[in-house]
Amino acid sequence: MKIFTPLLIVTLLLTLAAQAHDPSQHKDKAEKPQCAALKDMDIKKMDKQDPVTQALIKKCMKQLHPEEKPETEK
Amino acid sequence: MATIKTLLLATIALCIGLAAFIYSGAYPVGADVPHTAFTNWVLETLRDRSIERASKDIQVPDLDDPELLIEGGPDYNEMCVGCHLKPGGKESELSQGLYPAPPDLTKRASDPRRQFWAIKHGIKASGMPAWGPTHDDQRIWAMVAFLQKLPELTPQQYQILTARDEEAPDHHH
Ligand code: HEC
Repeated sequence: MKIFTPLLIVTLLLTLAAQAHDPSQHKDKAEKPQCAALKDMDIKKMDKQDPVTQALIKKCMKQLHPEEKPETEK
Repeated sequence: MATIKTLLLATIALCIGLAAFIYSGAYPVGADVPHTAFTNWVLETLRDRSIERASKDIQVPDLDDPELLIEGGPDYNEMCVGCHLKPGGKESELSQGLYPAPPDLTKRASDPRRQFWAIKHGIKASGMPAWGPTHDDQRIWAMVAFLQKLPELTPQQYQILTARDEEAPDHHH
């Protein structure tokens, strides 16, 4: 039994090491930005100079206006 | 001469007393026993003065770049939220159990230099890890930019900014 404790600790540490952060590992469980909520926020009333507003719009552009593609792709 | 002798003896006695206390095991090391007010003051002052001194010459880049928010949001959500919480979220096991308790970063943002330094180097004998060895300065600044805006974000805005968009290419790593 005694041998199991160090073994367990080593396994645990190895598991932790394998979980070191790498954005590509998060791809599968990634949730999509829920941009529908943006419509309720009333973009017109939001301050266009505000970096938060700009970031929100930028992030949701593709979802909200998928039709706005360059001419060649149509 | 007599006073010097007394002083010397007193100092030696103090050292022996201190060593005896350390070896006795009487000090409560558990995270669920709070520090005395004095220990608290010593540790917090030590921390604040140390960070202030070490971070005073750090050059802060323009943190109002929306790209930084888009980059820093998902990193925060994946690595930090368990301890530092999110808008509209509940306390977590880590936020309640750690001592010193992780500050709720949705409440207020401290100076960007201080945040950058704390993230890069971590804080000794607390749950706060150093992220410098695994993340470059650029990526840490992106998290700082996000932290500066975090207190004003609604839960919906937080969700949008922190969701990792599969289509978006991520450039840093
Ligand atoms: C395991 C829990 C934990 C995780 C994960 C964690 N932190 Fe912390 N953090 C702490 C604790 C605890 C403190 C307070 C330490 C102290 O004051 O002694 C802290 C302090 C900080 C501070 C300093 C706040 C101030 O101004 O006083 C910042 C900024 C910070 N963390 C950012 C982050 C970021 C960004 C991440 C993710 C990359 C992160 N933390 C991940 C526990 C954590």
